[in-house]
Amino acid sequence: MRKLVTQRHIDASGPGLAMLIIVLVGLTLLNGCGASALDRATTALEVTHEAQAGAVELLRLGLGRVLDSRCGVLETDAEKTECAEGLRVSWQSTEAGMNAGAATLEATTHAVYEWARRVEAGNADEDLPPILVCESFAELRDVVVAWAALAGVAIPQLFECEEES
Amino acid sequence: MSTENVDRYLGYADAALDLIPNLPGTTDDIAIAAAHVGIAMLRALLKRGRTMPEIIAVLRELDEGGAARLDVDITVDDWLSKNTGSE
Repeated sequence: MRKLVTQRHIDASGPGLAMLIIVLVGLTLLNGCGASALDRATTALEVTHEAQAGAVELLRLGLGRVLDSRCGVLETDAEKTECAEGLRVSWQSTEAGMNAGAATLEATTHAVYEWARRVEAGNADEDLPPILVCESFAELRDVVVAWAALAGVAIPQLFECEEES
Repeated sequence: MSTENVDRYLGYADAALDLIPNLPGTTDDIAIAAAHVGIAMLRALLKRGRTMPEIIAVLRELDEGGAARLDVDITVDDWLSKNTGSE
């Protein structure tokens, strides 16, 4: 049997983004407050959806700024277009990474939703996440760590699956 | 965490949300966006002890809404449409 755990140790260094610091503080507050594993998982998903939306918005704003600073100073339309097309290509890997993260988040959300529906029907325990949920969170952990790295903040692990003794 | 503490933190979040748009000379849009997201996440984290129907409703909404995606093409195309074509 596996269980979902929330790691408390946090190592934030460098400038980072205020939002990530707040998340880390919030995650420490989350521990030990008496909510069921299902409730904590739901809260974690809400937060991660917010973080995904925020990261997407920040990247979109960031790309706009790069376009302004690098391409906006050029004189002709041809130069601006060439510059913007170059940035379009160079940002494709960032887009792919963010969107892969979104897909992982959606899969995890669906797994938790299915678990909640089984709990509601009396066919599952709200404090014993199914292995599928636990493994989905483990995959989501890598996404969150990647976001944090983008902002210069090191997060060792937010979620992990471990064998229950 | 006591209910009193939760209320206090939510009070901080509300005060910060009110303050952000009025900060003179600190209109960095990225910083403001980050602060908004951070506060929204903090508020989500402070929710406690929801009933099953509440949990189901949240998960259904998240499941149906999907996760945000970055679309570089739209951003670049928008920028080009605003910054070229005046010659």
